[in-house]
Amino acid sequence: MADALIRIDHHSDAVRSAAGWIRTFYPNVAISLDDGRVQLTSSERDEATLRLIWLTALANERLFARGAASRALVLEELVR
Amino acid sequence: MIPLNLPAVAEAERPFVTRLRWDRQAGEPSDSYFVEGDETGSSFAGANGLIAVDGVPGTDLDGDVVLVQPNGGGIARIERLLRAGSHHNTLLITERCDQLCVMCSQPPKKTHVDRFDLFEEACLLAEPRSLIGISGGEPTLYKDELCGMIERVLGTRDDLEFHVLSNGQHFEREDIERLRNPVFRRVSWGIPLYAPEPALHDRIVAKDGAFERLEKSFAALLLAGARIELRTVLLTTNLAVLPALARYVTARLRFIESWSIMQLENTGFAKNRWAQLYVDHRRDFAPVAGALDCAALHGVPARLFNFPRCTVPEPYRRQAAVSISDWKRKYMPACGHCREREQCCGFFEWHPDEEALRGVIPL
Amino acid sequence: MTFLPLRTRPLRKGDGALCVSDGGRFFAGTPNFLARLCEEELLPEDWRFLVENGHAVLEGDELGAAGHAYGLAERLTRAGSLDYLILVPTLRCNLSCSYCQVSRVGLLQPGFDWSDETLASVLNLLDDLPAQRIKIEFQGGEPTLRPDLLRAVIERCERFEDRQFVICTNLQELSEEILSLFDRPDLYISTSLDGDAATHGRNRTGSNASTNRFLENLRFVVERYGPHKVSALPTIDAGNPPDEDSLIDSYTQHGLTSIFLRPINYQGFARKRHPHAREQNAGWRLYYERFVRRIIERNWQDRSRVLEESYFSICLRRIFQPGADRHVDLRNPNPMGVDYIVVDHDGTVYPTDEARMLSRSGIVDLSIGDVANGWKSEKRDLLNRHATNQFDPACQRCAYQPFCGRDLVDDIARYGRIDVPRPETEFCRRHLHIFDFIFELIYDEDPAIRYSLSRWLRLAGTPPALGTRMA
Repeated sequence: MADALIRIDHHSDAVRSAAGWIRTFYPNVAISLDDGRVQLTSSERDEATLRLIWLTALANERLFARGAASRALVLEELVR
Repeated sequence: MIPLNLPAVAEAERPFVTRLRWDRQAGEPSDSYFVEGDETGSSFAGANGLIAVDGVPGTDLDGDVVLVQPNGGGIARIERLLRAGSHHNTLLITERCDQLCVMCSQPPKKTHVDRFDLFEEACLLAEPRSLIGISGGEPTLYKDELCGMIERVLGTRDDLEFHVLSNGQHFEREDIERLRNPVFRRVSWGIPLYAPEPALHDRIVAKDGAFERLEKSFAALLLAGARIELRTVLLTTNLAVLPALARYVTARLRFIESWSIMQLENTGFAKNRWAQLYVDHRRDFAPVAGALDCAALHGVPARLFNFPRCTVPEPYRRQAAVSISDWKRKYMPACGHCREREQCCGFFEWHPDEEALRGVIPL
Repeated sequence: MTFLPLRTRPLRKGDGALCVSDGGRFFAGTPNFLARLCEEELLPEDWRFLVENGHAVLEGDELGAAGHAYGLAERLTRAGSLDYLILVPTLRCNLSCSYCQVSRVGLLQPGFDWSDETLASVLNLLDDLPAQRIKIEFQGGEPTLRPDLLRAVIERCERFEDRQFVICTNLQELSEEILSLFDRPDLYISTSLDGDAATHGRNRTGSNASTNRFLENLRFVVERYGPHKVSALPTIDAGNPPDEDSLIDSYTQHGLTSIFLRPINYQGFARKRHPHAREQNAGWRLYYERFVRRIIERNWQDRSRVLEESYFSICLRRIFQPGADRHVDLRNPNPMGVDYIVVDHDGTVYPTDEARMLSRSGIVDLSIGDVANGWKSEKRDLLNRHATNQFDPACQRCAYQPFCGRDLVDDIARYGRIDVPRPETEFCRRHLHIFDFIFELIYDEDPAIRYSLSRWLRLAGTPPALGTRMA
């Protein structure tokens, strides 16, 4: 059983989305959001891995939000 | 060595294009027909009058599309622009160039003689399904005339194709529309890139800003759907960065049709710099292998040009192309016993024999 | 504006994260890099690395922007005109394999072969195809029961410049007529080989005599034509898979080196006799990995030939070499009924072979038309509106999206609907597993692993590393 406790500044949209997607992609990881932190728990993964799962999920949400406009533009150009 | 230019005398006053024919029955009104001759030369007659050619028997010239230069510039001659039955015909569009590559095989001149009309005439007489090379100097110094000629020739002859050598310094976004014309699907552009970063590439081509300008051209060519044969000559100065160049190519130039890694030709500027520049790839093939594997890994087709097969490690041999034009190719005596001779490019006519002899091992 | 089209996913081993750009280029990033990415505080050397490797497009970099768009376009299927047909001239079969997917009918059953009209429609269709190349796969039942139909189709295809035929056969009977078809250099044989004689007999042939006849015929065709002519596939009981070496040996004995591991399919007879075939489970995935690792070991020990698990190779090449293979079950978008179709024994047209089997099993009718009257139907259009992973919110966050695909028929077969959240579907789980495994191997420095990966990627040499790492 391993826990990862990660400090975050605030519950931004990205943070909330990341938590949601972790539930979807990693059904055996429990995740909870409290003031100022995120907690991930899993019986199958160690702390370092849990931290990495959080980092990748959050990075994906940040990148997705920032990149959405550009991605739409590129796709539109291609279709043309 | 097959002679491309032959001394000749002609009745006409101005240069003209014609096809030489041995057999009167086979030809067309614009042809010039064999009149008489022997192994040392022959004469032909056609709409532009008589032509007397020195040096080879008339049969050698049968079907050739030639440019006849009467005694205007001092030397009367014929230039065999499109030799019959050859897959290696190249038209020299200009001798001017705006780069000065350290190994240049065709050192540039300052003057330019406009022969686009004559070249266009010649192309229209080409044998069916010919691939015609265009070279220089730098052909795109006359980009508009060049594209015009290509458009008109390929518009008339839907069986022909062009391969144009260019330094890629002059393509613009404004060219994209024009290059999207379907006739350019039958044109490929051979463009050199010698290093993955500006400092080394610019030094090799002796022009500041060349690399950066080339990237702009590539962007335009990519958006135009142009077919590119990327070319890299192997030199002592870029051998070590070949793998890095491969990473650059697979990251930023995926749109190319193929990548030719080429051995040095001992002619032009390379002749006096041979010892400094030539890489003996038999001793140090690793960087080449690294580049080939990187290209193959990422699905970019790469080939070796001017690498005799026996000098290439077996796993990479299938990437060695028959790349040396017939008119400048030779083999070593030992090659007579080699079972892969037909698939081998051999050596350049002017390759130092001692160097070649050392490495040849018949397969 | 700077554009950083990346998606990340933890690597299964080690402490790095896989970072993949929309065009499918990838690298392994450190946790610190990931943290910097989250805080949006990338260092200049981070940016240098990203730009050099084609992962970021900086403002003003025209070539980078154009190249990025090109890389993206390379990942999208360009389906041309129809040039690949799966034809089922008869549903009759001379075997009764326990897992048979197609609910075959007995040898003497009338009414399960192409009628004269259906044959005429197929030949007309062939005449009208615009492409200069054609690939035809004959399935069944057992296609060799109707060599006359095979011959009629093959001969009608002489006009194509580039032809490839595949006959999927159980190789139980080889007549002179069948051999004369096999003799064609443009024709290949595909058969089933489930493992050693006992396994094969248990699943397929029943009697020893039948099993032996099959093995003799297999030996005969490999000897006559060489191993390149024949491909064989095992069908595996996921609950009771054969010993890896025994399965591999049963292939190498016949000079066959490609093995496509497919577990019993959730369709047709498979559902009745193998009730546990419902979902592939963790046990199967472990077996799969053991199998691939065993192949890697054996390739290292014996360099004279290269063994491969076919689907692993296809997925591996999807990562590095877009467009290298044309595996119609793994592509994005996955156009249905456009560049390839299935024509059933009764002339009905289906978008895939799985769709045909699904309909035959009575689960849902996914036919899109028939060969006489065409298949540009509303049903086909409906399928094609959803045949992509480009806009699914889960796929949009998945690092493997550029390499993955979309299989509507598989979803319908298992769940009866196509809107199940991706990570809950078997298709997604299967591919997450395969790609996780592949990337674990890509980042493994073991020379034996690099050797096999390099052979499967068709490289001349073996590079020191196949995946880039950010320092």
